Amino acid sequence: MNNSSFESRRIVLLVIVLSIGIIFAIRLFYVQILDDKWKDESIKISETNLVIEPERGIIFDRNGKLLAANKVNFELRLTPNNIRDFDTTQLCELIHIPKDSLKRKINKLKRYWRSKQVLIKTVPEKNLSRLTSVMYKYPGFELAEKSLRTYPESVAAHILGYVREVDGDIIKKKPYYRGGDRIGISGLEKYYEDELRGSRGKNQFLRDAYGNLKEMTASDTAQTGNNLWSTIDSELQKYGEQLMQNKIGCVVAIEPSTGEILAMVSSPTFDPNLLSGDTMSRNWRRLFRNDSLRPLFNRGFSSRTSPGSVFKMVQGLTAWELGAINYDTKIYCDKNLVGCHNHPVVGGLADAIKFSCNPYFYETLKRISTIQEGEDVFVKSRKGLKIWNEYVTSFGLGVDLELDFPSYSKGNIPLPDTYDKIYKKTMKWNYRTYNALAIGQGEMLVTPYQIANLACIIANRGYYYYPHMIKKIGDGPIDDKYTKRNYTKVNSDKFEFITLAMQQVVEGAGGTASGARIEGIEICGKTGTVENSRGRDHSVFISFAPRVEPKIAIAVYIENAGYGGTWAAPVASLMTEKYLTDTIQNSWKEKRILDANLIPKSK
Amino acid sequence: MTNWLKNIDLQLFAIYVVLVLLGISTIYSTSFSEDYPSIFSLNKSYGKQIMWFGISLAIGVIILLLEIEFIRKYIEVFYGFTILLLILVLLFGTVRGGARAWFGIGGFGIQPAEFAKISVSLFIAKYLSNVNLGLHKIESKIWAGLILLVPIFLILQQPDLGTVLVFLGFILVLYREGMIGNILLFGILLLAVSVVSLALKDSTNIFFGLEIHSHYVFGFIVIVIAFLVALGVNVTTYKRYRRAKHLRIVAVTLIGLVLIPLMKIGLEKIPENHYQRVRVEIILGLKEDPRGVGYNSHQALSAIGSGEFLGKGYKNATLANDTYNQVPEQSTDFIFCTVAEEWGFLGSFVLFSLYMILIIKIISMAERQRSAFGRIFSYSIASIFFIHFTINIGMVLGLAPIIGIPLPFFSYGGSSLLSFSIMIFILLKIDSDRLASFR
Repeated sequence: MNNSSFESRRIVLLVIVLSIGIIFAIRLFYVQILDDKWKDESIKISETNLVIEPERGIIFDRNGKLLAANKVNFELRLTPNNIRDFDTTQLCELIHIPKDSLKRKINKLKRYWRSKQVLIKTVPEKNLSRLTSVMYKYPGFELAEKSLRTYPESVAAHILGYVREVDGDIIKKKPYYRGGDRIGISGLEKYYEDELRGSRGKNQFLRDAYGNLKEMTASDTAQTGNNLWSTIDSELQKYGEQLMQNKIGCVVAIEPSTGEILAMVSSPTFDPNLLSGDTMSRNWRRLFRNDSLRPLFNRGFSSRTSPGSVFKMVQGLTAWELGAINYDTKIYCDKNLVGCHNHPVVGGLADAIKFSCNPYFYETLKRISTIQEGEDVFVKSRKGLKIWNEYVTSFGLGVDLELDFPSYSKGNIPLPDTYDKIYKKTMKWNYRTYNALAIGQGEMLVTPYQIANLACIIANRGYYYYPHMIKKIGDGPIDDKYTKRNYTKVNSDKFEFITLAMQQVVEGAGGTASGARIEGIEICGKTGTVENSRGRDHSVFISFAPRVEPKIAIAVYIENAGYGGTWAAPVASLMTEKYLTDTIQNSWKEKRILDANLIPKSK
Repeated sequence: MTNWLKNIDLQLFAIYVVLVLLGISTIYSTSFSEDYPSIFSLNKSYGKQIMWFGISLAIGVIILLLEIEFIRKYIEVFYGFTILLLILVLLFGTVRGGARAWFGIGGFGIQPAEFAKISVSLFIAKYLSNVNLGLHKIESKIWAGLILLVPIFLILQQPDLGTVLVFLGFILVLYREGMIGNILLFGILLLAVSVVSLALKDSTNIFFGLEIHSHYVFGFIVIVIAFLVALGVNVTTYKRYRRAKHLRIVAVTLIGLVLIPLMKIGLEKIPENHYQRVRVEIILGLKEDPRGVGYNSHQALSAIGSGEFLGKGYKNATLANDTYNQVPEQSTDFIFCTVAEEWGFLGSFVLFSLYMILIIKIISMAERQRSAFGRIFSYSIASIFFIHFTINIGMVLGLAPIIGIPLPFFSYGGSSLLSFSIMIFILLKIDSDRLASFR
C-alpha cells in the first residue's frame, strides 16, 4: 500500500478544513457582534415608520365662535414611478384642471421624482366620491386626507396670521419639521405654533422586501394641538372691518379691566382664507406685491406714528405729578409759541384737554425743566427730559408691552441721548428743542396698540395689563405676566379728574369730539390730529366707556383723513356703542362712516 | 435480521439525522404559513422536505441491505448513466435560476448533477484504488482527470458554477492520494483566494497614507496566513528529507501576492461593458442581480447582523423568511441567514461546529478504512461536504461570490437532500464492511 506514504497529508487537509471554520467563525463574530453596521442596515431595510399627522389646534373667539378651524380636504398624490397610461380627460374633469396644465404638472414631477409627491393640493369636494370610485383606473395616483386651515368668520386676518407648508430653509432651521408639514407664518398661528401644532404620532411597521407593511411593532398616537381661546370678539372685529372699509388705518379695542384685546382692525384687510389652500401663493403675491395699500401690513401693531394730541393727558398728568403745574393752573394760550385753534380761555388742566390747547402743554413741559436743579438751562432741560421720559414710558409708551404676537413695534420715547446724537457738534439743546413732545409730536414714535393701552390706563385710573389676544391655552392658563397690573408713576388719585376732562371733550360745549357722543353712555375721549410728512393729517381718537367701570377702550387711527373729531371719533363711538349695546341708535352716523372713502387719490 | 445494522457508525448517523432535522425545522420556520399549519403539509416546502427525508431513509435502508460488491460492480454503469443524464438535461431540461439543470417531474424537480457527485466519487475511488495502477504514471493521471473533467465540462454548459467547484474540490482527494504535490495544492489555494478577492466589494482603506483597496488587503492577509500555515505544516509534519524547500513556498507565496493585483488590473483592463468582463462579473456575483450590485449579499448580511449574539428566537425572524422575503432564496441557498437571525452567533457557531465535526468525522473514518476504495470514497464525500459548506457559508457571509450552491442537509431541495443522504449511507455501508473488505 502506498497509503502510509501520504498519510501525513491528512493533517494538511484537517488544517485547511479547520482554518475555514475558524475564518467563518471570526467573520460571523464580526458581522453579528463587533460591527453594528449590519444590525443598523437590517433596521433600515425592514422597518418603516408611518407618521400620523396631528390635527392642528382650533382658535375660538371670546364667545366660542370659530376663528380658525380645520376643514376636511383631500390631496391627489402621484408616484411618478408607478404611472401608467390613463384616461386624462376624465381625471381632468373630476379635478377641475385643464388637460395641458395637468400634463405639465405630471411631467414636472416625473422629471425630478420617483417617489410619492403631491400633485393637487385640493380635490374638489363634490367630485370626491366619484373620484374615489374610479381611482383604481389611475395607477400611481392616490387620494390622501390632509386637512386644510380655514377661517370660518373670514375676519381678523392680521391677528390670526396664516399657515404654509414648510420649505427647505425652515426645515434646516427647525429640524422638527418635515416636508409637507405646515407651520404658522404670521400672527397667532406663528406665535402659538408650538401649542397649535400638537405632536406627531408614529406607527412602526415591519415591511417585506417589496415595501408591503406587515406587522405593526410600535405605535405612538398623535396628540392634537391645543385649542386657543382668543380674547377677540368676532362680531366687534367684523363691525370694525366694515367701518374701516375704504379707509387706511386701524382700530385697537381693549377691555381695560383685563388687557384683553377685543378687536384689532388693520385696514385695508383681506379674507384670511385667501392664504390657505391651493391658490395661496398666487393670492399672497397679489396681496404682497401688487397692492400699494399694503394690506398685509399690520397697522395696529407695527405702524409707528406720533401720538398727536391724545398724548396731552400723559403730558398733563406728568406735569401735575411732578409739581410743574396744578390741576387749576391757568396758562395763557400764547400762539407765538405754537399754533392753536380758537377756543375759549383755558381755566385749568381740564379745559386745556377739552380744548386741546397746544401752548398750555408747551408750557407744562418747559416747567418740568425749569423746576429741575442745575446751573443752566441745558443741564435743567437734560434732567427734565430724563425724568419726563421715565414718567411717559411708565404709561406703556415706547416700551415693550409683551404682546402675544410674533412681531410688533415698540416705538420710541426720546431720551437725552436722542438729542445728543442730533446736536453732536454743539451739544447745545434745551427744552425749546424738544418742546413739540408736549403735544405728542416731534421725535416721539408710538404704535396704535400703545395708544389703546393708554386709554385703558386712564380708564383704570392708573394701571394697565399687558394687552394680549389669547386667554386660555388648551386646559391651561396663559403666562401670568398678563394678569399682573402695571402701575404708572402718576398717583392714581389724579386720574379721576382726567376722566372727567375727557368726558367734557365728548360731551362738553366746545369739546373737540362731539361726534363721539352716545345717548345714555358716558363716553370719555380725546381727539388727535397728527401732522405727518406724507399728505394730510392723520385722524386719531382714543376713548373709553362707560366712564365708571369702563368696559372698552379704543384707539382709532385713520391715515390722511384730517381732524380726529371728524372721522376717528365717530368710528370709535360706533364700535363702543355696538360693543356695549349691540345696536346702533344713530343709523345716519353709521351710514356716513360706511360710505366714506378716505383713501387718498394718490394711492 | 439485524446483520445489516451491525457495525454501522452511529455517531455519523446521529450527526446526519440531527442536521436534517435542524434543516427541516429551519425550513418550517422560514416558510410556515397559517394556511398549512401541519409540518407534514405537502403543499409547503417543509412537508416536501420531510417526504424527501422519508424517501432518503428508505433508500438508505436499501443501500445498507445491498452488498458492497454489488455496488462496486455497477459503478461504471452508474457513472455512464449519470453522464447520459447530464447530456439529456442539456437537451430536454428546464431552466431554473439561469441554469438548464433540471428535469421537471410533476411538481418536483430532479437535478442530475447532484447524483453525478455520487457516481464520480464512486468511480474515482474505484479507479484510483486499482492496485495495478501506477499513480505517478502520466497515463493514469490523464484518466483520473477525465473522470472529473467530463462531468465538469457538461455541467459548465448548464452552467452551474457551484457544482463545477464541487468537482474541482476533488483536488483535495487527489492531493491526499499523492497525485498532486504540496506546492501545487498551495498554488491552487492561492489562485482560489485571488479569484475570491476579485468578488469582494470595493472599498478603500487608508494605510500609512496610501489608499489601498480592501480586496488587496484581504488577499494579502489570507496569503500571509496560508504561507505561515504551509511553512508550519512543512516543518512540523514531514521528516527532514521529505520537506519541501522553504524557498519554493516563499516563491509560490510571492506569485500569489503578485497574482491578486494582476487579476484585478487584468479585469479592469477589459472595457466596462465588454461581454467577457460582464460574464466574469456575473460569475463572481458582481453583476448578477437586477436590483443593483450586491443586493443579495447586502440583504443576507443584514439578516445575519440583526441576529446578534442570541438571535431573535425560533420563527421570530423579521428578514429571512417567506413573510418578509428580505433575503433571496432563503429556504435554499441562503438558509443559513435564517439560522443566524433566529439563533444568533451562538446558534450559528453550534451549526458551524456540527459541520466541522461532520467533515472531521468523515476524514477520520476515511483514515481507518483498510481498502483504498473506502478511503478515497470517504475523502471524496468529505471534500464534497467541505466545498459545499465553504462556498455556501462564504457566500452568505460576503466572503465569496454569490454562487448558488446548497448547504448540505439544510437547504430545501429534494435532489440535494437525497444525494447527500445516499452519500452518507454508502459511506456507512462501506465503513461497516471495512473489516471484511480485505477479500
